[in-house]
Amino acid sequence: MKTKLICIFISLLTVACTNNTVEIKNGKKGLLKTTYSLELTATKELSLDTLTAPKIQYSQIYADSVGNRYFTFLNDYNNSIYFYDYTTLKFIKTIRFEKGTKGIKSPKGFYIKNMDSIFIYNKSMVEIVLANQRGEILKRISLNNKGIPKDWTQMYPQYHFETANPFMEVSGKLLLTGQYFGSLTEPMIPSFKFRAQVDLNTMKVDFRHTYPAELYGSDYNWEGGAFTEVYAELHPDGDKLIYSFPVSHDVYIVGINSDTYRKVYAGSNVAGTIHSIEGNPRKTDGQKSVAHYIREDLYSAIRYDKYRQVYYRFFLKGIPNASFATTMDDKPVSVIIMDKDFHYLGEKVIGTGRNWYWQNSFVTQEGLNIEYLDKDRDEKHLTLKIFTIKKNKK
Amino acid sequence: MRVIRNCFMALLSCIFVVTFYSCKKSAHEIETQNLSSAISKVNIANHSKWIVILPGLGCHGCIQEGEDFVKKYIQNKSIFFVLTNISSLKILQQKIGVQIKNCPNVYVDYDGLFNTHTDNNVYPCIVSVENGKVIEHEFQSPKNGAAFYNLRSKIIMEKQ
Repeated sequence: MKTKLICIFISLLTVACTNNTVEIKNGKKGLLKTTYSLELTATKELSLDTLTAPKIQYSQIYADSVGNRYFTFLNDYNNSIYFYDYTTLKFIKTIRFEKGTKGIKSPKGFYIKNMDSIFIYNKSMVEIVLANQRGEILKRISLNNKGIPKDWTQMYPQYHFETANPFMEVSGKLLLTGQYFGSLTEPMIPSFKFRAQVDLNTMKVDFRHTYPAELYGSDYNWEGGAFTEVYAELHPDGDKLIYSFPVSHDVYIVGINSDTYRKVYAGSNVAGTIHSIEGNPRKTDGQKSVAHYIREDLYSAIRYDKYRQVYYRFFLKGIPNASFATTMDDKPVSVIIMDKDFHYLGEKVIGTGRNWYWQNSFVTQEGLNIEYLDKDRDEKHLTLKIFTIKKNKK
Repeated sequence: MRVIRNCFMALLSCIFVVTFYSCKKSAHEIETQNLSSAISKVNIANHSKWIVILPGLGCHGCIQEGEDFVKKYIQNKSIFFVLTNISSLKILQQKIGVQIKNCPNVYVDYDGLFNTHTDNNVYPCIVSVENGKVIEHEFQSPKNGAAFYNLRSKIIMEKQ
């Protein structure tokens, strides 16, 4: 009787101290065949002014009505959008926005529809601001019901825009992919929608698309923000989105106005099993989340190359034996290449996050552009390295 | 006999729990250990009484206060400044209006030596030192908004 009671006590203690964990296996590890390689084919170097630093958070290639292509980027230090000619690399102009309550206090991303309709994300107010090329504010569109109720973060997404996870315009709507920062509770899974869409005619905001339960349900511990970031790309069909969740070897395809996901394998040949964090999410501090992020194999942005009809998906290899001094930027950065049907073509380790700022990556007809951080600590230039695919010889 | 055995088991459990928690280092202890280790690797002048560690990324408002402090006190020889986890040295120099390379009491921590490895590493940190040894440290954070004010007061007191 006494032994039984001890056993029950130990079992209860074990259950009370254990949280649900998930293991996401890569069924195709080591089985994928390489037929293409990724080659560095060009470098572009822009001269920066004294108020601009490299490692920019957000850029957009904007083509005007006569086909001139501009590399535009945000300088959040002086609240400006800079324009460079993408071909000649010549500086063209800036559009400056006023700071403060009447302007844009904290710009963190933008979309130039045309020079009279520039949509800017203002983080401090969680709003989209419509402005023109003179920097005049035309309209403000709240993305969180103006912060009502106070715990709006439980209902509305938060946004971390990067060039590799951009604003998208589809069928008269501006699509904005956000996320929930932290672990979702089981009741949130069917209700929390991470993508906002702004109707460009009515300027009304609607929310769509939920986290897949098999990845983020069952109270799995994904604390920290990085594990729940959702990377989106427009499907070449034009009416679907592709979501790359960091913790999944698959990508999830869904109609813009549908809620049914179709899963397609889009993993790395070297990625291992991905694990959620052990322990209670509420007791997981930032250091534990960062250490887990460093150790785990994780995916990030996905980009479609319409000129070559291939996808590029970024993969950040884990460092299982990371030391105390290892940082998130020490993780090796790979680019996985897939054809338009997500068949694996190959992958390449380009370096680590210390040199490759994959967050600022985009596709042009020249290839996949990725910002390169060189040892030039005087920060006078912004360097883009351009990669293209090449079929391997048999 | 049974009572004695039960008492013994209870005592053993208490010892186990107390030992378990006392072996776990507090955040403050981890920070002290990491700061001491970082300071020992960097050549800090013996006359420095305080080290101000300013992160480039983290609590925006707290860092802004830190930048204001650096701007005002960068010429003060009693203070050694560490700039860590910097997003851009170029922009930081613009903000504080000083060329860092002309300041012998500033260390740019490119290797992350001064990462405290606790959740407080997003806040500016003020470390009191004596002969290069850590005496105490505190963070300028939303919960402790007077850290720079306190340091200013100490600097004024020192002058008098």
